[in-house]
Amino acid sequence: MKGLMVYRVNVGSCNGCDIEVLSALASRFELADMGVGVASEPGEANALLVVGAVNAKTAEHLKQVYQKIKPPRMVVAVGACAFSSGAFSGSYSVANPTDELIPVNAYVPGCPPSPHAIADALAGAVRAKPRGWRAPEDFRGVPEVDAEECTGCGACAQVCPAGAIEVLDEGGKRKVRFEYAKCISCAFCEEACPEDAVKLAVRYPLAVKSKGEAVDEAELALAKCASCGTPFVPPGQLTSAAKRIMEGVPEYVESRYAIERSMMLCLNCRSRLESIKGAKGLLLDLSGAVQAR
Amino acid sequence: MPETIVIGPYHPALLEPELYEVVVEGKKIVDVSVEQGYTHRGIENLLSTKTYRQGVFICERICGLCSHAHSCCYCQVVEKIFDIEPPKRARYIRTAIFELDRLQSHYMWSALLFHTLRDEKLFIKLLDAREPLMDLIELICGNRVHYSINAIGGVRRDLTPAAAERVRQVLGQLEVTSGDILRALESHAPRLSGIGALSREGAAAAGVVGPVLRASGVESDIRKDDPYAAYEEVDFEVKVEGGCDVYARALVRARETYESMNIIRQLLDNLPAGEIGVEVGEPHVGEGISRVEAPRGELIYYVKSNGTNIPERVKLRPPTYMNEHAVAEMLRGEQLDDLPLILESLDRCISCTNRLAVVDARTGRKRSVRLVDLG
Ligand code: SF4
Ligand code: SF4
Repeated sequence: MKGLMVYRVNVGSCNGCDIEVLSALASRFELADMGVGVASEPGEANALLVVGAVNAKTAEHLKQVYQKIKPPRMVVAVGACAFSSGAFSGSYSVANPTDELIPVNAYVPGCPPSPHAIADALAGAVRAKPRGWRAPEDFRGVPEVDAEECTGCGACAQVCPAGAIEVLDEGGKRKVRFEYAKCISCAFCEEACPEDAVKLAVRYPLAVKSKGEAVDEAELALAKCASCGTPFVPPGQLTSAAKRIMEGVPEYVESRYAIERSMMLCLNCRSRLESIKGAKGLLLDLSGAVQAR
Repeated sequence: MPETIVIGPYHPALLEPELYEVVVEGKKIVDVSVEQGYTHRGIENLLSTKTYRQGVFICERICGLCSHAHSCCYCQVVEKIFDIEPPKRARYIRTAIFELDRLQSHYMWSALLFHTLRDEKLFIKLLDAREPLMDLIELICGNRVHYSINAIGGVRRDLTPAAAERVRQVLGQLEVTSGDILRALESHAPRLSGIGALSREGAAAAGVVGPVLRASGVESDIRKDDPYAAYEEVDFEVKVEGGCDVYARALVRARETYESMNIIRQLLDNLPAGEIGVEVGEPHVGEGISRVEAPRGELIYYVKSNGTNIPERVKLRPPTYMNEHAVAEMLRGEQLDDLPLILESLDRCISCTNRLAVVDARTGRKRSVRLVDLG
């Protein structure tokens, strides 16, 4: 598209994204030079920037505004809220995300995305060369998970305030999936991960064309239950737990084999009578080891 | 015969959606009603489904311009409920970031004021001047808008000596910007003076807060009246103006930027060594309240705890909610042309206030206008 006239519509934002869209007008981002202008009415625009989480009151407005944009309409969903309702998904007043109401051409992840990312997304739309801005050293970008280190424990999913992390067990595998559509880059997952397997990328996230492009995931094979053979837990989690136990109580090292073997039972097998008896015996042995100290 | 003009909810001069029904006789405004709810996100309800620690990130996302004020205020109440106190260094860092936040908010407001005055050159110049400050915030916090630096019991990131040095450099540049703003305001003074009047009594009656209140001659600032974080340990002045008009509100904000710089310099000079956070134990059963001076004025949080890790109830009262009570009084009797400037002078932040919808159905003719065609 040559020459872009952009209209911004706020469908329920914290105004963080609005401010960054405004900030993108600063001279350093050179939007005017690239042929990107700001329209004050939807009818004057050929591009629509949607910011915020669509709520019950703005859903209809969004559709009307979209109709007024000059075809071929270019729609960019800016920020986690417009992408997926972001931090507000699950709220009673939040309606469908943008792309369930109008067609969306590009999404810019982030909460909010930096004007650098917004400007680059618009540059892409007018086929100008994106500037490829570099983020500062401690920038909080989107999380990247190291599948070698991740044990699939799900601590990150527990703490994530935006519900951006999913832990799924299927087909003998566990997937830990980070959805950038929802991520607000709070870095809570990075803090919570006991294996240091999650790091927030030090770069401005690029615009994407679909939700599918905006994920990172660790896929881990599940270890089988020693008794019934059902896949139930990623082996890394057992190794890591055993290591922590041995470090915490050095006296247990002698019983290492028995401890590890009892951990290899799935939930079902663990609640069988023999297993409970075995566990009781193991516990008695272990308390004996500590008392002998 | 009076007629009703509908402005909004989407208008070029409104950063955020809101609907104004303005009753006019000729060009004179006789009454106004406001309809809100366009950015309602059910936040209070959402907060009672998130753990205390997760809640900090949600509160911050109530408003993109005073995000730090929200997270600070929430953390402060929750710290009462957990019976913990952040270490001194953490309190200093919180306060320094609070003032950086106020600076960027006041600069954004000035930029928008000049935009409303159709001084596009100054608008872009101020956006440009604000960028080094935004880069600085990004450098310290990792994001320009949602700082996520607050945590229950302290802050999540330390202020390195290199960052502190950078802060000093940027403050040096901002002194120039604030001077530019004051001079530009002076040259626009005839246009800004005498409109949007809110007397001292009117301000008290409407219960307005922050710069709007201080511009009506009332010396009130939570940082002084009920000091939190590290405000008791720094010297600064509360800026008050007696003009009670749009110009006075602009002056208060412009002058406050110098005080923010002054506060930040003192904090950096006396930054105590030590930890930046404390262990968070168990929450008590009980309730707490806290308030801060957000860039737009007094912000209050109330939290009720039932002893679990999720609050039972969170209630907040943001500054714009109070300031909107004065909209009608400021506009009544004014010329329609002055409406955009008067609204701008309130520095409304709708995103935090949208928790209520007021619909005032009126009889009479209705027509829509473009706000840009007004001023
Ligand atoms: S994505 Fe984040 S910054 Fe943007 S409107 Fe939503 S909460 Fe605000
Ligand atoms: S940074 Fe991690 S914890 Fe925070 S929203 Fe993103 S995925 Fe969730």
